[in-house]
Amino acid sequence: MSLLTGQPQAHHATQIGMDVRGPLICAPESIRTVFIVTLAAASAPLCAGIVLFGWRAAVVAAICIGSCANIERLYYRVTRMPALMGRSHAYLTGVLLALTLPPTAPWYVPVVASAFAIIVGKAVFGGVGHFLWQPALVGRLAAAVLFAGAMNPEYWPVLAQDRLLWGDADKGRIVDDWRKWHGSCAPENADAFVSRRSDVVLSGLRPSKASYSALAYLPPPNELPKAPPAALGQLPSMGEMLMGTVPGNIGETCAIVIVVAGLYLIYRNYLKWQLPVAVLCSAAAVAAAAPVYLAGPDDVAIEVWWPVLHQEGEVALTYVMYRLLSGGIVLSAFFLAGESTSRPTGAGGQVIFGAGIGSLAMLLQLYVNTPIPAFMAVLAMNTLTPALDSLWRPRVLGRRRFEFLRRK
Amino acid sequence: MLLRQYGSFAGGIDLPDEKHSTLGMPIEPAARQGVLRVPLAPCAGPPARMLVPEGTRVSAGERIAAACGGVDVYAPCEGRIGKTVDVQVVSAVGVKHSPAIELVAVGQMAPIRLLVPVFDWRAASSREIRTSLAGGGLTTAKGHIEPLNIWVERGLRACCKCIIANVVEPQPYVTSDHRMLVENGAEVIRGLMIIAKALEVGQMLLAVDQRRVDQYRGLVGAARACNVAMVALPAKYPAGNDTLLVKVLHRRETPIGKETFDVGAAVIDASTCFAAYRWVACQSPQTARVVTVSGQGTMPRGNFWTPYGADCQSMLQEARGTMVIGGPMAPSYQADNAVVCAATDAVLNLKTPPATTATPCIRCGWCTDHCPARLNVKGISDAYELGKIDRARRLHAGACIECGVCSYVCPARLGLCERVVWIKRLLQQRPQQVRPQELHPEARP
Repeated sequence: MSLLTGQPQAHHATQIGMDVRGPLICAPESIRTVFIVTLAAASAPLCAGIVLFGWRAAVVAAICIGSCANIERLYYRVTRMPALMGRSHAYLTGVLLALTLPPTAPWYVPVVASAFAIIVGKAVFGGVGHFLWQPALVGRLAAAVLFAGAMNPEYWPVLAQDRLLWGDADKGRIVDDWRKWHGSCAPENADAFVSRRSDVVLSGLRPSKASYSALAYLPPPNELPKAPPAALGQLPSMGEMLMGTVPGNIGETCAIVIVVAGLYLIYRNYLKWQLPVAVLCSAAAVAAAAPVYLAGPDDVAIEVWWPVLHQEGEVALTYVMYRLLSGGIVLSAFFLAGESTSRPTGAGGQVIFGAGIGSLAMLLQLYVNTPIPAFMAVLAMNTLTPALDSLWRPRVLGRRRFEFLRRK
Repeated sequence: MLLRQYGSFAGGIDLPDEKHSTLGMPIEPAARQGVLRVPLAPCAGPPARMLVPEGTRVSAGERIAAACGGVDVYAPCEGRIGKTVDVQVVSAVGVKHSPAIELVAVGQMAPIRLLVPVFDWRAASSREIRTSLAGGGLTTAKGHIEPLNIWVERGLRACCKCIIANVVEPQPYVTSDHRMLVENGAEVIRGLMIIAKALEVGQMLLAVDQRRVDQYRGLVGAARACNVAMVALPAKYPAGNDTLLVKVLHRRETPIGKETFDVGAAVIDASTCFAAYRWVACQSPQTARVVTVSGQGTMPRGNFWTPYGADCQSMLQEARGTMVIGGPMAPSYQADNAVVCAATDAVLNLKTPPATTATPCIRCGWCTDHCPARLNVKGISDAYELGKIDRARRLHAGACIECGVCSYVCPARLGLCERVVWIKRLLQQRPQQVRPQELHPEARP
């Protein structure tokens, strides 16, 4: 049993002539504490999502948590393996999965996603502590592939201000040029406003010839926006982006709550500050630098690198913030990328990991038509975790810097 | 302000201090034990040769055995010599079996008295002091216990630049060196100066804990008179480790597998300094030391002036729990009939931890984040499980400073510290011929 317990066995002691005991006192935090505190932090954006998207979000979350816990129990019963960690990690996976699902998902979507998360994402690797990809995102990716229609609707709901928490997100009215959530009243026979997602609206600034020809419909040059403010005018205000009253998945819209909950995780030492900072900074840098297509003089589409430099400061800042706050980048930075098993352990490795996630997510959001750009970026970088772990190691006490490069 | 503040080191943790119960208790003579079992070989080397036959009555401080490669042994108190028995001597690096003389104690242990100097050590040369240090049963108290004169010879050969008296005591519960410095600080500082003279070093440092600076105010005058610089170190857990102390104060990192002598710094502790002063200046041999008795639960606590050879278990009286000799953080060793020796700074009674179920590592990374040596602790632990000694060597398991932080912070309660210390010892003892099966029974060669 020493593979798991790590207690040196008696016959070792006789061979080397001593019996070492470790410290008899230990820190109060166990793995269970870690999972439960992370779960509590992750339920803050979930509560915000339930308030913003109504009881349907609560139902999706309940199905996620319940099916995650039960599928894990079933798996361990069928395979007759001992369930080592209790069920706290299954609950955590369920909450994280609920954060990434749209509020209007039909009931079978969270069930199937949970099954993929628990079995494919976690159990086949050997359970807690052994998986390579973040399980909740494995489930989300399976849902995005299997139920592409249901998971990627063109129009997404937000409850009106007087129907928060109790409204039905499915009863909505389409408002295309709707910008002021604050102070709004619910339309007749409906609880929600339905509009396109902000990143889809922003892709009115469709960039890059390659993505036009390969993936998307290329509008004639006279339909291209004249300048970023034309597209920005169709978006909700910055305050509403931060508060989360914009269309999106359950947990990814309310940036303020996500950041506060993430800061609590950083305070508890469950998350290194370098990781979210690297994600957000690299995403902002890519958004600031990556080219977009604008209508030039004589209605010819021109490619513009460094779009932020072509506008005055306020518009440029707004553009970068919109890019950052849409598409789940903030949620990935603070919760999904920081899952303790599937990220590199060292601070240096985490900076590279976070920079990869941020830039990849922003590139996917800009140039590839995918509903889950940030989640796919996290999964892609999770694959590189073992390599990043061995790439970056702190210098051991008593060794010179770059000693491995010196000749022996 | 004479107390300068220095830098810090990477890693480390804030530990609960737990010293409040014995921090203010003055040093008292230990309760009388009927039989002392004075070890004849407390340090490396063959046991000392008996000078008195069984049944002889000896007085306190009388030499009862002569050194043959080790140190002289003196009677801690008045009593009658009994037969020779076997005891265990526990130091920071392991348990050692040693023959011991039974001394049926007649007298009570006397309290520490101020002695009149009989030897003018300030005018003496380094060579005279070194000759004097060879007697008196003087040993070092940290790490390997060895005769003080041999330690001094090694330091002379390494051409040390500075000597650091380490009174930081980072471990919870342990207060013996602190009380020694508060009550007999002037003698400790003079002892430091004597050892510095023997080592022929000019720079003398006294490293103390920042939290206790207020209680050392009375020492400032004595330290200035002896040209000793007092340094307050921040309260972060393994700050009192010798390697880290040299890194912080001397700006040198000890290479893997070497000791602090190799970077030109000698580190000594308060009780050795005190004993050196008492022997060199007052001709009073080292036969006792201050031992902190403390822990969890109800038990007699205090700092006791305890003779060598007192039984550790009976010092705790009827306390239930696990007996730990030394601090609770460092790796400890199981010893059934351990006696007090020069390295015994504390005898603690700690609650036996409940048998926890095994949990897998979740790769939180806290072991590496808090490791003061910046080791890849989990990698070494994996190498232990797989029996890959070469991988452990490549991960520099020898750089471990044995502070126990990795086991303390591990949320999975893995015995990381034990494994790394294990591999370190194995590499030290037999670097060439370690078979994988010795690490783990299921490992394949």
